[in-house]
Amino acid sequence: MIGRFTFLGTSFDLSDASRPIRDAVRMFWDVAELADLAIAARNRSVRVRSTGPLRAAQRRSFAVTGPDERGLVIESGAEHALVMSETLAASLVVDGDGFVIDVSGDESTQPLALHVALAEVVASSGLLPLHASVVTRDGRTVALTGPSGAGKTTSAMLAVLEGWRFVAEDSSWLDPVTCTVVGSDVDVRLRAGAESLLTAPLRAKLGLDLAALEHDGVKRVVPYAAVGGRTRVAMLDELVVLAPRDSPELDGPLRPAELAMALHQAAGVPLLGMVRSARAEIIRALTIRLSARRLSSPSGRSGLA
Amino acid sequence: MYERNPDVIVTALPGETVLLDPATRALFTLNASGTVVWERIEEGIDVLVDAITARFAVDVDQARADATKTVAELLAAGLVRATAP
Repeated sequence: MIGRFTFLGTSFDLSDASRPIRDAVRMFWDVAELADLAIAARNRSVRVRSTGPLRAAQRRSFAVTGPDERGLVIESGAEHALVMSETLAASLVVDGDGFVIDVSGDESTQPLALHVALAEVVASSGLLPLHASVVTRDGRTVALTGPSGAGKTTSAMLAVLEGWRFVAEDSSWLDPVTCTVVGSDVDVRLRAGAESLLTAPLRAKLGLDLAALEHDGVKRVVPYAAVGGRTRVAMLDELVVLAPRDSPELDGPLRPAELAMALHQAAGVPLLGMVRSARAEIIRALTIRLSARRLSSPSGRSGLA
Repeated sequence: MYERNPDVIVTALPGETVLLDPATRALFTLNASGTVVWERIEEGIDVLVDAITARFAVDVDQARADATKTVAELLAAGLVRATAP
């Protein structure tokens, strides 16, 4: 049972959180491996508390969005956000130099709302969340981004078969000052389409039988250890935007504005006004530091040189 | 007259601007003259036309057409709002 720990420069205090909430945080945040990692981001602290139903006083007047593609309804303010899934609500409030998250609702199901609130706290420290597949080889590290279904995971897996190594399949954090990228997901998850494309090459090259692995009901769960392991921390060099194969746009370098749009898409929209105002500057700085190109979705090869 | 939607996340780049509307998650890019329209929209079309002809090699008619079109697009996307005169 964990009470207090540090993750990527943010210190978590779960002393007032219930057991299911503590377990959920440990599931989302790969605490043990990342506890001591030093990064340049500003330190933050967050207290997570389990409460009864959210009091009316906690609900203020905010811009409301959603339900989004994850089914979340979000109320956003400058220093307060409320994230509601079907089963759980997480109220995020700035408290001095840190944050308090009050959690209410059904803790026994996947508490996505809590996950989103916690991610916002880490983002407030100046790190950029990156929804991307990240692979590394010979000191060069590439983040594969693109719309859902563009083939990020398939492309990354093909790259692994070509000698690259995973940093992350889906989620990582990027320090925009140093371009340090830290993988934060726990395993590789393959949709049915990716699984059917990868079944034969994975069996041929790694002797891996995907059908024998666990399935979470939506995706096949592949441990990193089964696909060559992972390099948890790397220095990001390039961002590759995967374009659908029928896209009229040609492969080639991205303009700074196209890179900025790809980074905004990969990072998502911040909840808090204070994080939003910092986000644009983080992305502007990254358009100078990162190279970027567009690449057609994979057909048998990753396309990464 | 017009005002910018204060919620929009503005990424200013050399010669271009990327706008992200948090409410819709929609992204937009503005070229150099579009960036002038965005940055000075509260000053009205006439000032925008002067600013565009001063900075870019376009005549007044072309500048007015460009500025009017950009303002209409920004309004339609909810990135700027019309204010009471």
